[in-house]
Amino acid sequence: MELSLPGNLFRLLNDTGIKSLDQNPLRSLGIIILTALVLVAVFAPYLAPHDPKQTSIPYQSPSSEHLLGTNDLGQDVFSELIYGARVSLTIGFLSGIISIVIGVTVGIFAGYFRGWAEELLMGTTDVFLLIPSLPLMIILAAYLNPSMWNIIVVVGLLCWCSTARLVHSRVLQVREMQFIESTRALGYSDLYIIIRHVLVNTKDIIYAKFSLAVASAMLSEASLSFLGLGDPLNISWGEMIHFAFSRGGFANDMWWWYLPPGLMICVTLLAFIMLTIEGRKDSKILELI
Amino acid sequence: MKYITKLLIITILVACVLLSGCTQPSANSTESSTPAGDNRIQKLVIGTTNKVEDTNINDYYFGTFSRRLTHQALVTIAANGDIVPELATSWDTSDLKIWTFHLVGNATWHDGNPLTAQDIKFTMDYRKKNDPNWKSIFGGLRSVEAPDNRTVIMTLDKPDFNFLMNLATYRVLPEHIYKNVDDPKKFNSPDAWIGTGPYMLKSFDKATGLLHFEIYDQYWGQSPAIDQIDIRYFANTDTMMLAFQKGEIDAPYAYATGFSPFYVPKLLDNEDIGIMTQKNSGITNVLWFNENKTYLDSKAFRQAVSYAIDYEEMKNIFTAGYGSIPDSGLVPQCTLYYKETRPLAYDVNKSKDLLDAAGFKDTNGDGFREAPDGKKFQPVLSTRSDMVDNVRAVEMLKKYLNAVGIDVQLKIMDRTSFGNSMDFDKTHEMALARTTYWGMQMGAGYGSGYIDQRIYGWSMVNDSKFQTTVDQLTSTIDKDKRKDLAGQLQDYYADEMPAIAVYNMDIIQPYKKNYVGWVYNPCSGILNYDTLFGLHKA
Repeated sequence: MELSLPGNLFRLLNDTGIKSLDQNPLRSLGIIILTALVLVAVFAPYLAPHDPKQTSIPYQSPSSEHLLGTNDLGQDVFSELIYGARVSLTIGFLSGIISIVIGVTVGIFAGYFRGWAEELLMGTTDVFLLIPSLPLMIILAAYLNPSMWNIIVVVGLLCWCSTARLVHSRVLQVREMQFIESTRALGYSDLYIIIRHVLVNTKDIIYAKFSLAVASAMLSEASLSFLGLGDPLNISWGEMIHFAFSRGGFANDMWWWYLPPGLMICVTLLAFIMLTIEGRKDSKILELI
Repeated sequence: MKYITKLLIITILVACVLLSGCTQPSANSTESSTPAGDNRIQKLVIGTTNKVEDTNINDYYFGTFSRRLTHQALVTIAANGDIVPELATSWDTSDLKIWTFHLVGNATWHDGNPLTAQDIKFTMDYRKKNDPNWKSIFGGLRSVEAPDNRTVIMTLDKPDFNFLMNLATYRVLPEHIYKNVDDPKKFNSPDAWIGTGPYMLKSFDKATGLLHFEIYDQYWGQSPAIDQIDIRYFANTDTMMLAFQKGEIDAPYAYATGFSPFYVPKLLDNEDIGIMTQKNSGITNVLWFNENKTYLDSKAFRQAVSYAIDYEEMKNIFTAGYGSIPDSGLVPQCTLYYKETRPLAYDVNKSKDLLDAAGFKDTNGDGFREAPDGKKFQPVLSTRSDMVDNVRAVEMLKKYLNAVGIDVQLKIMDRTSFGNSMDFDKTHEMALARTTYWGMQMGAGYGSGYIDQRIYGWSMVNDSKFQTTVDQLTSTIDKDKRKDLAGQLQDYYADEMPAIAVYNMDIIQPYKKNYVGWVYNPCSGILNYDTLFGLHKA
């Protein structure tokens, strides 16, 4: 008999490495929050009461017309907050994907092949880890033109090191397992073993690190934007705080302008961190992370 | 007898009080440097967002602060805009071509060496070799002679009515220090701070951006009213204003500009804070077209852009009633010989018609116009990232230009890159930047220095008609002729539109009321000698 839809969904989630949600309320809450945020981002044009680019009277206090008042250009802060979810999440996800792809590739190849490949790749990782990433991001972002895509690339290229090290550690364990040795003895290629066996047995860590990578990327983007290195045409939550901080929001106690984007960043980061929280005390992921 | 004793005591007391007022100040002791007793200011703390990167003479904002406090020029600009003596007590010229300056007799450098005419000659010869802006400012200076210790003779290639204005910003350097310095950009030791001004720079903390100045007790003129001055750098204007409201600084300062009106309501609530407003003799934001770039040399295109901008909205958003929209003739109304020209107007249909007529049409139906030759047309509009008002203003300009089908691309640049692009490389296409009071006076005045390719040339105008008018204005003394030529320049701007003054914000300058005697100078703001010598406790 075919399983019901929820059952299928949970099985699917279990298959992709996310453990049963009903036993882990924090993770469930994280998923609910993120789902809500993604929906807000996707349906922003339908949810936002105003066009976020439309200008009117600047520095208005919250009212029924403008729930969170207006900013320095007279743009509706609430609408900007909704559209800001798009930019922040896009930057977070895309940077997270770049960093996870680089980190996983480096970690798996270094851990599986070992030898000179491991020395080269993990040596490179160590060098990258030695570089303070935020100052480097600031320099790169300042050197490149402020654009959303530049920020995605800069953040993505500089946030992969911890993923590489974790994946590397995990692969070192997996590659010594008997079934890998058996597969190797059967003559399967290294690439096949990596994709079909090593990667599959590393997925828990990858999912957890992806969540943290997205959160970290969002935080980095917010930091860069707050420092004025963001893309002024794609307003993210960090960019909203930047303009509130530079154009009289703080000096005039306009909490409705700078507090909501700050809270949204916190809630989103919290949701991503909740996704990584393990229910079981003997979790291998927790030990590794 | 009792009466005589009382009289004696009173006489002694009065004498003590009078004598205490005559005590000579000392730069090294705060307590002893209070000649006027309670009225004297021990330390003034100025906040600024103008960042000093390095203490070499080529650093822009180090130049700003050193010119205000530690270094002097032959002449200076008074609060009413007049050129008045500084290191030169007097000067004369018969033909605007040969200028003779007579120096003060008792000026000394901060290390005790006397200032001589040879220092002036050295400065001009030295800076000719290593000042990247030399050609723009003193390109016409043929020679400098120092026939004796107190006389300097400067000879120009051709008559220059505005020559003194250029000299007013040019710091005199000590020959005995700089004669051994090959690359002034790398020379930032305390010796590089030696000037003849009333203050000495005692320390510079690069990490915090703090400049600490102390009074120079051997200063050749009268003693200033403040013993020590700290210039505190703030990365953010809001932070600076919060510090100002808390009383951590005595006044915020920004070179050649004031502060946004959105700070005013909160400041007005504070009884300890006063606000002075002045008409801006520069222009807060000007849209510049580099006429050397393809398509931007089209007068019709520039005029079309001028009709695409909603000036009233820009003025309301950025000046909140403390500003105005300049005419198409560019120069502010408070300028001498200002001429009323066509008001800048917002007319989208006219803008579209002009673009159509000039051949900028949307041929591929993507909503944006292509160039007359059918190529993709995406002019780049750049501005400085450290001026957040400008970043917001270019967002607004992009909105307006998109509405008439111009696919403008924004480029937000750091201050150095933007400066290099505009001043030297000339790689900019369209740019949003302010003009300063001094900038409007350079060259022949009336903003011509920014327009003329031979000077700063942000608009890179090489039109002989324009340059002839500029040259005539430069060499003309007669007031009526000057007025006529100034009018011709403004008519040229209104017609050709090499630049559009988008809006002009009044200078809003807050200050602490516990000190009295703040004076605003159109060139140097509140950091001027009137303030430094006259400020006292309320």
